[in-house]
Amino acid sequence: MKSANSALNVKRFFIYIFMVLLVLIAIVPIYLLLINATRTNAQINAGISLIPGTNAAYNWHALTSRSFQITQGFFNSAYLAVMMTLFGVYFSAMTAYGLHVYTFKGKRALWGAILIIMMLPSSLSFIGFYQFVAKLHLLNNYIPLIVPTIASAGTVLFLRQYLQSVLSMELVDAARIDGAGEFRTFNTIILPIITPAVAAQSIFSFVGSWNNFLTPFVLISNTKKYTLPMLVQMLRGDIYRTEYGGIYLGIAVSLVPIIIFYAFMSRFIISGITMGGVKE
Amino acid sequence: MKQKTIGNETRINRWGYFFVLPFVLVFLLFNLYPTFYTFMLAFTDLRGLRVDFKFSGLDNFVKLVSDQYFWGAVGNTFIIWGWNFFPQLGIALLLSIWLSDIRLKLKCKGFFRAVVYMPNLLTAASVALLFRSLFGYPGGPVNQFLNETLGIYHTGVIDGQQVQQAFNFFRDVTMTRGIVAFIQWWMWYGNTIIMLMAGITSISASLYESAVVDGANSRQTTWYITLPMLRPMMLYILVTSMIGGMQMFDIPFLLTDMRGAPDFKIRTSIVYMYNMAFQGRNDYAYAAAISIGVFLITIILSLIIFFFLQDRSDLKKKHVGGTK
Amino acid sequence: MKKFLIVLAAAVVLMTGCAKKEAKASGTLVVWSFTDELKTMIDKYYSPSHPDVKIEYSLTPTDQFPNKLDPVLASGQGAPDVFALEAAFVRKYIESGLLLDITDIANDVKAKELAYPIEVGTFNGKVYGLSWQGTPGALFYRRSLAKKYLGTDDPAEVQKNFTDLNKFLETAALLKDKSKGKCVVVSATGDLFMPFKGARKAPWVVDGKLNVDPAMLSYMDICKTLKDKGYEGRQGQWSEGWFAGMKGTLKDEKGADVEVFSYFLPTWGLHYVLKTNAPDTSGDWAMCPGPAGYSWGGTWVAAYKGTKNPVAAKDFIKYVTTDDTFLEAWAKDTGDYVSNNTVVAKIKDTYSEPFLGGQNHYAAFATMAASVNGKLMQGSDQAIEGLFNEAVTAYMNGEKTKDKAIEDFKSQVNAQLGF
Repeated sequence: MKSANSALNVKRFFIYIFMVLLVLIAIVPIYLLLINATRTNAQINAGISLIPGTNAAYNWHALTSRSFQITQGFFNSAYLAVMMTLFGVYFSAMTAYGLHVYTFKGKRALWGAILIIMMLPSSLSFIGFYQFVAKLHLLNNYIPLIVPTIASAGTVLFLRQYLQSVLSMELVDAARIDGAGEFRTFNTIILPIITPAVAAQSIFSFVGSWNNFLTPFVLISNTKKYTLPMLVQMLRGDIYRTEYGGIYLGIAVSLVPIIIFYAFMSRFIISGITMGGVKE
Repeated sequence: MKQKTIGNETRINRWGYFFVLPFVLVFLLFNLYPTFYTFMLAFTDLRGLRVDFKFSGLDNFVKLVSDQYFWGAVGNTFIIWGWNFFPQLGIALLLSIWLSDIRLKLKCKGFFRAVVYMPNLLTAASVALLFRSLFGYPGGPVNQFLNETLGIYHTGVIDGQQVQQAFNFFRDVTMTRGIVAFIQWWMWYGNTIIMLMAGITSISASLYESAVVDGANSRQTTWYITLPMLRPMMLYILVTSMIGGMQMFDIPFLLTDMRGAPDFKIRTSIVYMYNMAFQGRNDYAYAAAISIGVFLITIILSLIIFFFLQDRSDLKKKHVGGTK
Repeated sequence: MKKFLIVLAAAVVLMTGCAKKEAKASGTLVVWSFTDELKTMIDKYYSPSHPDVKIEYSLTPTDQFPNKLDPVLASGQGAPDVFALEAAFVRKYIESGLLLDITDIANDVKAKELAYPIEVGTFNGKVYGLSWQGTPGALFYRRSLAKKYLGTDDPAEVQKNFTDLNKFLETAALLKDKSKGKCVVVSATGDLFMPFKGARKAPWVVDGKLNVDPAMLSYMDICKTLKDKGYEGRQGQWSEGWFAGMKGTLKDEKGADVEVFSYFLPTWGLHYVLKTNAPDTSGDWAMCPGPAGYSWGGTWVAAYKGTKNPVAAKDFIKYVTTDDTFLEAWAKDTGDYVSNNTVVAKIKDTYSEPFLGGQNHYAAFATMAASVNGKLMQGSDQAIEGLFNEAVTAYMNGEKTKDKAIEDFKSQVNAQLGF
């Protein structure tokens, strides 16, 4: 028994070392990014540092002194991310519920279509998407960013798989017998049950839209409506000398809310996905 | 009180339409139309800053099939994806198994999982910026570390004499591909660990218990129970990773000179498409053909994977599950 | 009384007639640019003198500017009225047929304007873009290093060492020998690209076919020679090392000092690059024409063909790119070399640049500006040169032979651009 235990301990020891190594690999680059936000241009290009610099104030000035507002950008990004997540996840839940609970003509076709859609490169529709939005005179508007999230194939797939393992039809039948309308049943009974999965998808969706650069960039030209990633990119407008300190600070400002949001919700990612598994 | 079951069912099932309607509408409008438009573009000659175009039949596709740079780009994409994916799956698998192993009783699992997921939260632009400066030539931090701290230099020849110089990482094809693959791995393996662990928790514990009773050690339980049961999940991970991998754009684009230097060997298929569409002479029609080409390749590969890997795992499941 | 009324009526008619002929610019103009320059001009000079015109200004960094502009110009939706165009991509739009014809303004000012910016803005005989500046390039060198290794720091004398490309190489070798390897003639081989481009006789595309000018082949050779013999600093342009060379703080991998003798920079290079990055070396610099005349960069202003306010747009362009009073004030403010020869003639002798040890850079640039060939720029330049630079780097680093590099280059150009 003892030798088995010590063999196990040795194995555990090496695994812990490996894990520590991986944690370092994960964290160190992020840490370097954040540290660079406090250093000067010259310091950044001279080398890396593990100790924060004292240049944060100057970098903040470089970030905010140009003809745009970082706080405005922050709120723009927040607004967009929240709206896109709300719309995306709610309507995906609706669609997943519809596909799971009801049988109707074209259901299989729709499900197949959803699977195929996921394989389409987004770049495929991009050119046509721009032309379409332009024709609708919806440029410089948040609507063409928010509305398309209603059709998020990946989220629907995930939530449907989750529903399949977690929802029993008896619950739905019971609600029906009680006289609750279908839509009400969905909102009041089903949604609470799939909360972990919804939370997990919300994180992915929030992070995705917070970091999204390309689509808002092409659609929006009014600087007052710029999102945070766009503003950070604008710092490179100083074509004679890129203000790296300001850029890193901008990256840090974009990153910290995400990390905080993630820290709060991270248990849901794991529990949300694991609960989708079969329980004995 | 009892209503006619069939009539009631149909009426209730109509609700299905209600629930999926928003999705279908928005999809048709904002996804299908643009996609069809792009499909159509591939059969035209739209180029540059014009809006008028003529139909040119299969010209773009004929050009695509014989375009050595397109196939080169596809090859590049595969190589970089392969270097990213197989270590990713391997390491994630190892860790998932260890972390789920009840006998090992590893601590801080939650913390570990949360931390290795974090790189996924960064924008590709930030990561590319950081790594580009890390591996800069001749004075980037990695070079400084190798040269000054470790005393390792690259040997260059100046005026006939050998000189010690820094490493020009971004002029070396293997190194640059390696860096791109590393970044992709770094950003995604936390995700894979979570998926795999979810898959592992869904394997019923009784299987393990009876195996241990039969005297199986951890290597045997892993090989005969865990891996086969994880096959569907690994398949899902393989296919989704491949689909994403075929569309790899951000990092190859931003880490190099937007063209996949050196020698265009980091130019992935979508970087090539972007070069065609938004740089050079803005050949939207050919770019559309490229994206269709990528799409077709992706579908064919997914089908092959499903065909070859799905069946056997189904059979295995029946075998291992016993009477289930 | 009657006579008075008739005179009064005539006066009123005359005045209203005159007012109508003025067609005062008014309304709104949407202006897009990629730096703050235009905004400063607008805020400080244009808006105060044109209160009737409301300007909506939007800034997008240079490398994303074409991506922003292309879709709006092609579709006509959301297009700005007036926009700035950088030299790197100006021709693409001039040749596109989507810009407002401003040949009438050009003809008005041709006599007093520098020729080459107008040439650049001309396509098929019509003018679509004008510029407020000229950006000829020169060779800026360190006086102290010139004294140390060449025995003199006088611009005319130093120029004798750089009269042509062969002399340039000889001087490079001399610098290395005399400094025992410490001094390199340039910190980056890329510095030579613009001068060599300026030395071309024909552009990249002639009659729809790719044309690799002999000057470009010489460029490949000289890059390789500079690298193989150690005459260059192995930095990339715009990298931190490149800037360090200006300050005199460049070190190699072993920590030894590297002295950089010269930089090839244009007009704006003096103010925005040298002065801002190497303030401590002020007074230790001077400029001479170098082995070839060239221009680098520059900003043109153009208008969208379908602008809703062509009167205001033309008026804006005319003011910003040719107005005597404004350009004189602008030149005095920023030191920018303006394209208005009248203004230049007026102010050029008033300059003495302390950064250059008192040298009159303005007059020096005036001489160089006249020899720039504006007909070498084309819309496909940026794409072709991106591919060409890859070939040069591959050859220079020994990754490919010269023939293979050129062959691959031609093949890539053919695949991507059809030439």
